[in-house]
Amino acid sequence: MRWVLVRIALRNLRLHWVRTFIVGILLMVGTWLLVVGQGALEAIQEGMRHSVVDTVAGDLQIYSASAKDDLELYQSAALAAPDIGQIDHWDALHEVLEGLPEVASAIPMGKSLSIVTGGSMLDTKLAELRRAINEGDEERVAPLVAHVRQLIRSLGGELDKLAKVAADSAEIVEQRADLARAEEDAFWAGFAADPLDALEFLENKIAPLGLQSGLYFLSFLGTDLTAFQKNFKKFEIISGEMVPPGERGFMFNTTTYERFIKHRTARRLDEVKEARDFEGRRIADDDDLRRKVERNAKQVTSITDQLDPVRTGEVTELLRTEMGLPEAELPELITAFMSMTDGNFDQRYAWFYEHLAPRIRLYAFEPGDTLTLYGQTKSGYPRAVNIKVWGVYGFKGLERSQLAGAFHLMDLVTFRELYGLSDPVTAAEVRGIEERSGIATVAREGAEEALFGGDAEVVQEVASAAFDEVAGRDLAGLRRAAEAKRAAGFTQDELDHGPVLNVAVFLKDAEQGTLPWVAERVRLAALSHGIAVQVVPWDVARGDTVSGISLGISLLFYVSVTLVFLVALVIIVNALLMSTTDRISEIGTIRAVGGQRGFVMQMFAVEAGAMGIIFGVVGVLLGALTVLSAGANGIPATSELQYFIYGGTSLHPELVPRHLFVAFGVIVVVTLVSSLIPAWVASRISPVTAMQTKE
Amino acid sequence: MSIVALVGVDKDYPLGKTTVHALRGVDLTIERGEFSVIAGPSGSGKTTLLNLIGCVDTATRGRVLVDGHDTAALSERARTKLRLDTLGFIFQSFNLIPVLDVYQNVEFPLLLKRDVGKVERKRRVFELVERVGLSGQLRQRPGELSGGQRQRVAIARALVTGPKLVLADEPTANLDSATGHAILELMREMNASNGTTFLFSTHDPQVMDVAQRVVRIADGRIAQPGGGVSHATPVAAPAPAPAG
Ligand SMILES: Nc1ncnc2c1ncn2[C@@H]1O[C@H](COP(=O)(O)OP(=O)(O)OP(=O)(O)O)[C@@H](O)[C@H]1O
Ligand SMILES: [Mg+2]
Repeated sequence: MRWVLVRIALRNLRLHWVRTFIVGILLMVGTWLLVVGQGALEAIQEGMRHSVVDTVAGDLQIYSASAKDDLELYQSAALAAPDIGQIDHWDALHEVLEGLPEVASAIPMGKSLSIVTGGSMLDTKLAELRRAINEGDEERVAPLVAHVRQLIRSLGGELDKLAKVAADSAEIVEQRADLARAEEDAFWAGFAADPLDALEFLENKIAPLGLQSGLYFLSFLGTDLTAFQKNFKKFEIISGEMVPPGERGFMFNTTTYERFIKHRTARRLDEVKEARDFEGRRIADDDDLRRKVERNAKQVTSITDQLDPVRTGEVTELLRTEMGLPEAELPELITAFMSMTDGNFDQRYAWFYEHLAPRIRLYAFEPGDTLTLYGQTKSGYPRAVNIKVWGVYGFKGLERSQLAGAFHLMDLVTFRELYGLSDPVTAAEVRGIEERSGIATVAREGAEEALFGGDAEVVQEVASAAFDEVAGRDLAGLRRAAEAKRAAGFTQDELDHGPVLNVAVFLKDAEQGTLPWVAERVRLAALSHGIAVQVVPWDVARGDTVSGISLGISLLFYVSVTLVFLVALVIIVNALLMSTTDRISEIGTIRAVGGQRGFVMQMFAVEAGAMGIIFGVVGVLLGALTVLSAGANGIPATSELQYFIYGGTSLHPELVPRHLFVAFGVIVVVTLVSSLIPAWVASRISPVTAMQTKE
Repeated sequence: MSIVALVGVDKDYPLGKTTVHALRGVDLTIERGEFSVIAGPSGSGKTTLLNLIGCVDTATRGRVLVDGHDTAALSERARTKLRLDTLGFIFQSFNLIPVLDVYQNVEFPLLLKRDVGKVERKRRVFELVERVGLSGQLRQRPGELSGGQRQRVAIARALVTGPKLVLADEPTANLDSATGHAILELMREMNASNGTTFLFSTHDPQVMDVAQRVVRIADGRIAQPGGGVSHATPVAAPAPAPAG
């Protein structure tokens, strides 16, 4: 190494320090970006891995070899559910898997969609009334009766609205007659005499009329709940309890529960609070928030309906005092109260949860309730099951992620019934029965469209028509069948023996690079036992939607790094070209006194290289510091998607030495490459110039 | 064998659509050990002539032999090597490397010659710096030196490789006459002690007194010794192109 080159290079860098400084800043930013970006990218990939692996996928996913479609754990709602076939005998496959040394555990599962009705205020109040009567609790009966009568009155108004659009007028006429009867005082006199008989009438004839107010779309996973809870690390119970082993049951996912099952007014208040507290948005200058406040002020009945006459009185009094409007009636009071501004929001939010929330039902379904789920079997037949809600679960750190929280859980046995999942022999029998009974003749495609087409929010509003189309012919029949299936429980053997759609497998050593090989070994092992399956690593099973996110993030990083470096390259090339023109005489002299072209080129390469090394080191150090501090403090997730890609509430990038070397290497190579053109130009400077230049 | 021999050398420069005939039919021989001056008015072709001899440029026609090498036949690489090994340059505007100090500037050509060891390098640099009288300014940069001092550094640099021929293009043009004289004396001394051939250009009549031999050039032609071309002759604008 000729030290004179380094000496000249360093001296020149110092001499032209402004130029050096500008290029240096660019190089530092580039290196910094590379170090931090790589750290963040790796942390994000790891975060996403946890979001996928530890909530639903496991390390590997297994599904039938004869599946029509690819397994996509997060399929977009707009598409028809992929047909992934079925694995006929879970116990046989389970045994194979347990025999493999690589496998730590395996969890059977299947995914489907349902509509849930019920949860209407009338249903709930009637159920409470029945309980009160059965328990002989006279004190609670009177207010409940008053509340039920209030609800029936408001139902009359809704039926009038429906009559305008409904085609089947005979049915409406009959329903009106029923409703009129239920509104009469004479009916309620009869209620006092024989409450159970009157209740029967209300439950069978009147309650179904209120159904359209409570339609929800639920996507759920049927699984071995005990195994699920044990193996998916992010699982946690938020409220209620886990379905006990051997029991049927349903677990709400907290994300969807909060978003769609919570009382709309409360939900909107939560959203406004969150936007104000975490995103610094203000009602005054944010259209979205203002709309939410306006809707809360308008939708008064969503609260008044929930209040029985006694509570109506209480709330009216409280609000009159709170609002300083001693004369006002409840609807007026609620509108005034809900018309919140940035000034009073926090105080009223707290007041809402202290005084109003305890008096209304905050969630349409709560642990302890029984849901009636309407779905369709794989072959397109409508089915209904009644299932108890045991609790609400969530995934740690992912409570706000809609991707991770898209599905609820239910026991596998109920799932099989709802989805019509049975081994081939039983399936044939069932199909025979269904066809003979002619329970419904909706083609699978049509039913799917009718049931689940479009996104949930919109569907919810137009759902009643769709719902009638599928199940309306024999709603009562379906309900009865569901009631019958609400069996007490099942044995582990029943659970194990039977078909599943797919299986999540956890490995003892889930080294990402080896997953495809392990997957292949598992596939061959199953095949050798006569079970034809496909085995895919989690990152394949997650499907295109999530892969796309992952790819998008990587792309964003690489594109921005490339851009920064392209800009840096252009600027370095320019700076060095300026340096050649500034130094024509010096270069000419060097050439004249005997320096070869190569020497001149080296001079420039060393100058660029020195810049690369100096500023690369600084950039790498700054980057490392940033990564360390970000790792220690965490980068908080600020959007719904970020929770998912961070794998929790914050991202903790780790300092990986390899990233530092890569960043340093890239920066040095980039500066060397950018010195090529100027170096070549300089080497073409003729030695004659040395003789020509005058001082 | 003469150190320099030019036979029928023409040098044309294209200038726009026309051609400047900077040298026309130049025949010139310089013997080893000479201390010669090329004298002529501005624009007469002195620098052009030195460029050809110094292998930094090539003739349009004719042959230029330097230390026995036909320079036109050499590759760029070989010409560069010839400059390094055989020639020394002293420029009108000194042309030191600004970022290097006196010692490093003098050492520079030795670093380009990879075959000179560190100890030998140091010895030669010290010897030459002392001979040009700059031992006290070893660590100063060109910017901190006077014109005369800079030209001394340039002389040391030109001589440090032990060249056979030192070319100096108007080495005193940027110096006051006293300093110029001192510089000329120094070169004369070097010539006397080492036998190094010196060839320099000037249009300063006082300078010519020092030279052993004065080659007069005007309008690109060598005037025959004793011939009628005088330095006082008004400058003949080279053929068609006015300056600028
Ligand atoms: N690169 C060039 N392109 C065009 N013309 C040139 C070039 N170099 C020199 N000339 C012309 O050639 C002629 C000889 O120039 P040269 O520099 O050799 O003269 P000189 O005797 O050294 O003059 P001076 O005393 O001013 O240094 C001049 O007319 C000059 O304008
Ligand atoms: Mg000249």
